[in-house]
Amino acid sequence: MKKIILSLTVAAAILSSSFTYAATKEPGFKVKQAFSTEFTQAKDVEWTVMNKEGVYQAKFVFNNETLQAFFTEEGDFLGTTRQISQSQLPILVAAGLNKDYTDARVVTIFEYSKKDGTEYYITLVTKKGAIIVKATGSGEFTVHQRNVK
Amino acid sequence: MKKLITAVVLSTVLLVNAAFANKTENVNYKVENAFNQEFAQAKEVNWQKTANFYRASFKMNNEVMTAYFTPDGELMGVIHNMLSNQLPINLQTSLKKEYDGYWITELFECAKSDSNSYFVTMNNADQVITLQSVDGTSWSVYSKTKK
Repeated sequence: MKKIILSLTVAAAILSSSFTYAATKEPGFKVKQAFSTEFTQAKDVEWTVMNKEGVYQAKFVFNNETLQAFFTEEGDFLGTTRQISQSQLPILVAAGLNKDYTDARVVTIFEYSKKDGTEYYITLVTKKGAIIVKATGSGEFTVHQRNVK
Repeated sequence: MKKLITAVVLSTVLLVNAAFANKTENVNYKVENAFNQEFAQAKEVNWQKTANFYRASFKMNNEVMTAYFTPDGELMGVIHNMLSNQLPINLQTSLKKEYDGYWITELFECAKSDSNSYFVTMNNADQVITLQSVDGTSWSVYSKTKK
């Protein structure tokens, strides 16, 4: 249950344009060690903590891309997020998007990479308004949020 | 002279158009219909027919892809050559961690109707190794050969 809540926290963080509830804070040894094990060649690391849930976020550069990685206070790795372009989507996600949301305009795409798989959060503008759809790597789509403002 | 050049250009255009038209005519209705359903916004589609399957090369989201169909219009798979930064982050990081010292010589995504896999071939001084990721979470060794 706790894992689901933390996963939802990360998903909310991905889709939040500003971290109003986050504060700059250096994490403890466990988190830093978990980070350096996971990302051996990370540069320009900046830490923030989401006070309410105690989730640490590291923003850093890896392979010339800006990524965010999320950890619990105990150093458990929750996943990594990055903004990507449509051309970086897996084939089945790109094809599904073109097929099922033909008239929609893609605004942003975030990849959320976890130990048990990768999800894509895609913000679309349709005639009925903005929506966020979630896709798995194998092209299964669900509506994550309607009436996005 | 100008007339001659115009005639040559026109005949070239006609010949090229005829060549593409023939390629499209070679595709049966089932295959073409399946392709259009699956890849609604494909561009620059180019068909090739072999004894056992049809092959469509096309562009989607500015990426070059190749799709294979049976004569009955069943999608056999789609191949997409890619760069390492197009891999999901967890697959990139595990390559960096576990295969430091190797260099990538080939990387592609292979998708079927409901699943996708990634294949990466890497070299070091001693061996050539091909890894496969079926679920997008981890790599497994597909083949390994000594140099």
